[in-house]
Amino acid sequence: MLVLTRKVNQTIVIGDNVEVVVLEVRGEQVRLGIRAPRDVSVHRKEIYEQIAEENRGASDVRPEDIPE
Amino acid sequence: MTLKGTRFGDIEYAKSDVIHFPEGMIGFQKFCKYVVVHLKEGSPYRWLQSTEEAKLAFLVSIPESFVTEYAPEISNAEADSLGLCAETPHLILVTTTIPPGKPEQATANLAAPVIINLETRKAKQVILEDEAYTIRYPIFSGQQEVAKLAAA
Repeated sequence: MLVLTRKVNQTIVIGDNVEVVVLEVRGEQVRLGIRAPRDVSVHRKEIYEQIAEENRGASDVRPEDIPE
Repeated sequence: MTLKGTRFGDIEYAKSDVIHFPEGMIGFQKFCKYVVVHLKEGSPYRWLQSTEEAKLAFLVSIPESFVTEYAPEISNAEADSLGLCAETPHLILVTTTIPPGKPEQATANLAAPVIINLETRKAKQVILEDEAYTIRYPIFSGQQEVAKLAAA
């Protein structure tokens, strides 16, 4: 993993089209701004993983458990 | 065409029935082609059956059948990627989980609906930016509530 140190208002660039700006640092919280093309989806990882987990659940449902 | 070996037996479908998910379902990016299987007339439940992997099918349901006021708002970028404008016929489905033997504990994921453009048959599972919608909405105990939780 690449590790970079940045200050507030400084940016990192990923590839040609993605920018991540550090907007604010307050205690343990960091606010980030992300500029990316429309076809790049950006999500909080824990939400993405929860949805993947729910999808796994939905793919495991037994047909006999479906209510009338 | 026939899809053999699904958990519902062999399925007959036409090429025009296939729905394309260019990005797959979340966590299942490898599989991009599905058909909607509706086994029981009048039931709000459907299966999103992969045509590429016979063993893969997601239980989905029609959200209007158990929540009132479900109005997911998708971003312009998501709408564009699906080729959707306000008049485009579309279908919204939500993935649904039922623990084995406990149908009363069924939950639906209102935070990431599957949106299907019925004209182009292109679809996407969209993560809503509105965090008020829950990932595990209880279908049977939540009936008296509106879909949206009060912002905590």
